Amino acid sequence: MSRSPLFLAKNVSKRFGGVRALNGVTISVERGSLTLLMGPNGSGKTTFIQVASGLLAPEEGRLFFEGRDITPYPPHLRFKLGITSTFQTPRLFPSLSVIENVLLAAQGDRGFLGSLRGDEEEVVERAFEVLRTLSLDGVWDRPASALSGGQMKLLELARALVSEPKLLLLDEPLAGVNPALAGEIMSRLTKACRELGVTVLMVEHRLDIALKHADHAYVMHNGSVIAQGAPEEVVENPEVARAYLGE
Amino acid sequence: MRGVEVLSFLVSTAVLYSVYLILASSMEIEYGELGLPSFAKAAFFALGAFAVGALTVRLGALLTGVALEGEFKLVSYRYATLISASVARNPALGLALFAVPLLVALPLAVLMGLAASYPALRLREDHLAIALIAFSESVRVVARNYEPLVGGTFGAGVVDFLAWLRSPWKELALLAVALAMGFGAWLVEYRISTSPLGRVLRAVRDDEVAAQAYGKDVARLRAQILALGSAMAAVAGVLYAFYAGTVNPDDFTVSRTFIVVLMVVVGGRGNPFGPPVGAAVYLLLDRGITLVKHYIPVPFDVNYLSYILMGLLLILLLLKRPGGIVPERPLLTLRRALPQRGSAAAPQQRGAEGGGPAGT
Amino acid sequence: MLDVLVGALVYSNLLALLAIGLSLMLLTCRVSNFAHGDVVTTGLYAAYTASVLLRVSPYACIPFALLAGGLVSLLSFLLVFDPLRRAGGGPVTLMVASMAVGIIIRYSLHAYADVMQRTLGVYTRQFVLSDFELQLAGLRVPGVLPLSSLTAAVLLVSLYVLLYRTRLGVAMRAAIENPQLAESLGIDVKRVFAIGWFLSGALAGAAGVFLPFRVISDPDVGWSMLLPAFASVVVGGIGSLAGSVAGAYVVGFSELLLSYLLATLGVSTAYRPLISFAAIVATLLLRPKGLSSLWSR
Repeated sequence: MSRSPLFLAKNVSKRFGGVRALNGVTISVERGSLTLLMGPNGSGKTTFIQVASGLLAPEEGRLFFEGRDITPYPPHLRFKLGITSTFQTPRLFPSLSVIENVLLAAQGDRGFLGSLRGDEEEVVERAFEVLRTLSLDGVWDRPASALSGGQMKLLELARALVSEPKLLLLDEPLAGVNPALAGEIMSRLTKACRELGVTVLMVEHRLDIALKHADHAYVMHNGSVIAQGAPEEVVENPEVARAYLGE
Repeated sequence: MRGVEVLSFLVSTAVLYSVYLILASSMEIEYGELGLPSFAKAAFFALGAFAVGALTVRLGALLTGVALEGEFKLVSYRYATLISASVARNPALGLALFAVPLLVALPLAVLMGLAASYPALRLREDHLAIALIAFSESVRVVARNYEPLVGGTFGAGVVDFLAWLRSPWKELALLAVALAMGFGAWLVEYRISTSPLGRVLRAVRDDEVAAQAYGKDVARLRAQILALGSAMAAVAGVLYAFYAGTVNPDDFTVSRTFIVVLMVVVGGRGNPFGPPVGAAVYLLLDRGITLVKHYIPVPFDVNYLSYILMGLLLILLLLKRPGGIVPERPLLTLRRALPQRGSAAAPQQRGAEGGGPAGT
Repeated sequence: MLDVLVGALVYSNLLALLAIGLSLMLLTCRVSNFAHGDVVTTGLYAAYTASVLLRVSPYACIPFALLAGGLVSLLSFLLVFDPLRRAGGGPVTLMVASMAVGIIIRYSLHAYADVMQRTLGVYTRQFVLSDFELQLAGLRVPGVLPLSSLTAAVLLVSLYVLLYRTRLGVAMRAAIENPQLAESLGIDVKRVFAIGWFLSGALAGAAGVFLPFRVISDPDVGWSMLLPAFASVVVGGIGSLAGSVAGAYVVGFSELLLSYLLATLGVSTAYRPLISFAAIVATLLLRPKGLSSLWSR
């Protein structure tokens, strides 16, 4: 028996009506790693992320986090355990300011009366730091709805980072980001994650940028995992090529 | 004589303002901040008033050793006068008669608020609003037909808990109690709105799923807020019943809820100053028209005009200035944390509302 | 008992006329229109005024009610709901706006009732109109029964034909299904919706004509029909036009028959509104698709 992984999804299945979105998917994420989840459109990657974050409940299979069975846990409890997930298209709080979007993720649960207190200098400090890392500090007081598409994407990441999760589930963090910036953002993101000791499971299409940061890769096709291993090996796998070419 | 009239007009205006300030503050927390259309407001308001209507006469009779004879609906006013006379000699009795209905209504309102959060988790917002309105009207229909509660359509008499004071001290005492309750409720609302909790409420309102993904227990939050808002409305009901000196179930219609919603929307949803502004605008129109009604030459009851004007005002605002008179600002919850930061990371606050989209 | 059945049928006819309009407005603008009851009252006073001025039966004045209800509803769409819908107002915001529209209509009617009483010298509050009776299959029934049934049937069938057998109907259903797509196909969505709102209001206005023959009427009377009409929509299944009509008859008959049964057990009939209120809450919580789940998935 090897050391248990930080996160393990065992035989997870999910159906939408007649469509099998996930078909007995088993994915494990080692502590401290950056695991890449690849696959063509519609292969079930986003569904898997949503099952992992608790937004969707699987019909079969179990999810483990730090050895604990978290299958029945709702999203907010998974967050408290240290799992943070981002959305493919940012779901910001449009009427809140940029800084408050970040603070919302940074503030712990102090209960009803506790969160009436405004003493959060330390949290505010941390929030500004993350904004600076992602070059958002210049717009900290704008309403989130006034940001550009790329900035919204960054804010989504800032929110996720500031929560200092143990496991970060990223659903296409680079989609819609200016190509010139994408490489830069990925570098900053991975650097921040390594510094904070955050384990990452990432769905991303921009393999040119993402592959070199990944430690391990899974490839999904039609709701199943068809290959896994070291990133360089996985992309050489002929079955993976066939899946991408659309057989 | 003139001075007394002016005083009572001012006092009654201020008490009504307090009542509406409490109701609007509770609606602001629930609807303005959390986005929950708690349109059973009239029922929770009624709960407080019914506690007063059902209890002061009966409790007063019990405490003064008077036996209640006859049907409640027919005798409650007579006994209310009788017991008020006892209160005039015994201030402690007055205070007890004020406190007990409050203590009975509060836990009941909290329980009912928690119960209302059950459908709140399951229904789309507009369906929830209709369900709550139907519930609210049910409460009214039961109260107006079940006469032992508060006398049905006869209404119930209320003991004057301040009968031990003489005019003008009596009026001033009522004024003080009302203002304390009204601004107390508003302070609760202000504190919530500008605290980290208010940030969570608005986040849930903006995107429930994202709020859950960031660790917010939406179900618990809704239950807590509905319990709080309902309790506040019940307090307003207690105050209103003592002010009016009578309780009538038909006073608690959907229109009452609508007026409170109107105050919140007119004042400005999501801005803690919305309720005091909205309540003031409503009372200004309502009372203003009462004051000048003899000078408006229309061939119908002028009071209708105030309703029509309120309706028009609301629609105009929704169309031209949907944020209300004092719209929500995006930076609400940092006032206490930011000043200590110095200017290193916190640049000067530029017009946060004016900042246009930053392009693509 | 016959009285109860007659009352139930008349009441259900009127609910059906209201409910289908409520549904149509929900489908076009996503608004739960709390002003719709007051459109009924508008029709009532329009027909009543016309009948006093023309010295004919209010039944002969249904066209005035249709027109008045339709116009008020159309105006509310053009001036309030369409702009709000375009500005991205959510369903609750629209609902709040509709409450304001309802209040404006209701209190304008209150004012109008004062003026009408003064100038025409007729009772405009707390009044009932006397009906004629006729022999039907050996039973004496009030005229409102066949006339309201006939009106409801004619109007509902016409609406069905319009929606499912004409180009306008196709356009309207397309616009409801997908406004953007319909727009790009050259359908004038605003115009089509406006027609829908006019028709909804007209049907509600027609319902108003019959009210004073059954209940004590005043400018608030239509408002009191609104929640039962919503109950019809909910019980029928929100978003289903046929469901709303079916829901109206279910709610109408349940209200009258159940309260009749309870009355024999000594429960006051004053509790009758509770039946439709409970139907709203129970249906939404237990069977959100209502009756329409019986024939569609």
